[in-house]
Amino acid sequence: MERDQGKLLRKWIKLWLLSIDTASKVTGLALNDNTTLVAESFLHTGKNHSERLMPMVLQILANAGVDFSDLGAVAVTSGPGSFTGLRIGMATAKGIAQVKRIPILGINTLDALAQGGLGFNGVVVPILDARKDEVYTASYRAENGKVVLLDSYRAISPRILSQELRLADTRVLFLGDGVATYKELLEEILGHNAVFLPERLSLPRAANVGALAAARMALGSYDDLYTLKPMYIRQSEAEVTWAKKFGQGGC
Amino acid sequence: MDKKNLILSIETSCDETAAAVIADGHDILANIIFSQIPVHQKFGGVVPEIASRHHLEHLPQVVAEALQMAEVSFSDLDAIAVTYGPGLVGALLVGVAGAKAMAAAQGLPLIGVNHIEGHIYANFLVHPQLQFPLLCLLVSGGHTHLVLLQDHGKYKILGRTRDDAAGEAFDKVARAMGLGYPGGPQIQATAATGNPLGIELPRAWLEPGSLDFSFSGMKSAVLNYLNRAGQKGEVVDKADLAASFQQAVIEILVGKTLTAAKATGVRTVLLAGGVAANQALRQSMTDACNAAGYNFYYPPIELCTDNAAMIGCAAYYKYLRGEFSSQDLNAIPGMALA
Ligand SMILES: [Zn+2]
Repeated sequence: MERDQGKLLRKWIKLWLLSIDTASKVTGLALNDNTTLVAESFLHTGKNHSERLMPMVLQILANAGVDFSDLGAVAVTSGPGSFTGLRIGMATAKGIAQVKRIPILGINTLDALAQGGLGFNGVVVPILDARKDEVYTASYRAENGKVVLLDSYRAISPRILSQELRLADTRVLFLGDGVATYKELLEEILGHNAVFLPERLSLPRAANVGALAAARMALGSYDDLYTLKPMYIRQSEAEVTWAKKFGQGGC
Repeated sequence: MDKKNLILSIETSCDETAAAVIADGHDILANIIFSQIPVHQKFGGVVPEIASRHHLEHLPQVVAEALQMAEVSFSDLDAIAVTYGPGLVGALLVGVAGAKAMAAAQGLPLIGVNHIEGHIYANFLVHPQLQFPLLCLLVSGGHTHLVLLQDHGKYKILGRTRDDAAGEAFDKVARAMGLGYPGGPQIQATAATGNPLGIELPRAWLEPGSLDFSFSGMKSAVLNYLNRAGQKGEVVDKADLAASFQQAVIEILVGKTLTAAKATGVRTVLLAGGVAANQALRQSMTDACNAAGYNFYYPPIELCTDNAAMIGCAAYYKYLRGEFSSQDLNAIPGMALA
C-alpha cells in the first residue's frame, strides 16, 4: 500500500533534470528522471551554440514528452571553457531557472569530462583546448568506479603539463577536445604512459553533467541563481594588459 | 476594457544591463538599468569581455527587479523582447540567450529588436501619437544616422557617418583632452564655461547636398591643436576647446538635419541616441526647428542613453504587426537598420 502510494507520488512529482553543456565545441543536453538518463543530445558540428541550443532544448523536451513545468532543476557546465560558450549555456540555464522558479546547479566542466574515465584505473586528465597554446585541465584519480579530483583547475601549456606528469611515471588517460590537438606532443613526452580513447568516448557528454548534478541534488546541494557565475580561470585581455601596466589585479 | 499588453524587454548590447516592463507600448511600469560605466572607466572605454561577464552576472537580478517594480510576474506577460544587434557580440549573446530561454520556458512569443530602432522608439514612449512621416537624427557612440520613418518599421536611411560616429568623436576628443570616459558628458561639462567660438575648428560639410557625416577631420583638428600647444608649451583652455568642438559637431548635425527635412518635406523632426542627451544639441535643434517651423521632439535624457524601455516600445509595434522571432535567433553585431 505504502509502496503504491510512493509509485503514484513519483509519477506526479517527477524531478526532471535538464543539463546543458556549451563549454566547448560540443553542444550537449541531457534529460534525467532523477538519476535515470532518459534523453541526450550531442552536436559536434563546430557551428555556434547560440542558434542551436534552444531549438535543441525544445526538441529534447518534446521527444521525452516533458514540459518546462515538469523540470525540477536545471544544470549547466560552469567552466572552464570557451568564455562565450559558457555564457550562452549559463544565460539559458538561468533564464529557465528564473521563469520556472527551479534550482540551478553549476557543474565544473572538467569534473564532468573526467567522468569519461570511470572505467579506468589510474590518473585521468581532461584537457580542453584553451587556445594560446594552453589547455584547461585538472588531474583526477579513477579507482573502483569513482573519479576524485587530485589538484586544482588551471590553464597550462600542454608541454609543461606533460613534463609534470612524466615525473609521476604512471599511466594517464587523457580526455577532451585538447587530445585531438596535442596527442602527438603528449605521446612524445609520456610515451606509452599516455592513454587515449576514441574521440566518441573522449568528448564532453551532457549525460556526465546530469550524473554529477543528480548526485548533488540527492544531497540537496544547489547554486544560487543570482550569484552563480562561470569559472573563467583566465582574466580578460584588457585586465591582463592593465595589470601589466599598473601592477595590480583586475576588477 | 481589454487587458493591457505587457512586454518584458532586455537590453545588453554594450555596457548597460537593462530590463523594462512596458504596458501598451508606452506606459513604463519599470525601467531598470545596471550601469557598468564605473567598471570600464579605468580602461578608458568599454572592454567587451568584461561587459559580457557583468551582463551574465546581473541579468537575473535586473529582470527580477523590473518584474517586481512593475508588480507583474512572468505569467502576466504577453511577450519577451531583446536587443539582438548591433552591438558587442559577446554582450548581445547573454541577453539573447537569456531572453530566448525565458520566452520558451514561459511559452511566450520572442521579439528580437534592433538596438538603433529602439533608440528611435524612445520617442514613441513619450509621444505615442507621433504622425508619420518623421525625420530622426540618431546620434550615439556607435551610430550617426539621418533616418526617414515612413511608418512603423519602415525606415529609409538618408545619411550616415563615413568615419567616426558623433559619440565616438566625443569619446576620442575627451580622451585626448584627458577628460575621461564616457566622453559625451565630460565634453558637455567642460564646455559649459567655454567660448564655442574661442577656437577655430573646421566643419566637414562634404559635397553639396550630401546628408552624410564626417567627424574624423574635426577630431584630428582638435588633436593637432593639442599637439601644437604641447610642443610650444602653451596652456590649452580646455573649456574653450571643448565648447568649440561641441559647437562644430552640433552645427553639422543641426545643419544636415534641416537640409534633410527640407529635401523630404517632413514636418516633424526627432532626436534619438545617447548624444541626444547633450543639452546644447537639444537647444540648437529646438531653435533651428522653431525658426524653420518644424515640430521637434526628443526623449528625456534617461531614455536617450541605452535602456530597455525603448526596446520594449519598439517591440510593442512589432507585436502588433505579428513580427516574432524564432528560437534560433542569433546576435548580429553588425546589424543594419534598413
Ligand atoms: Zn545605444
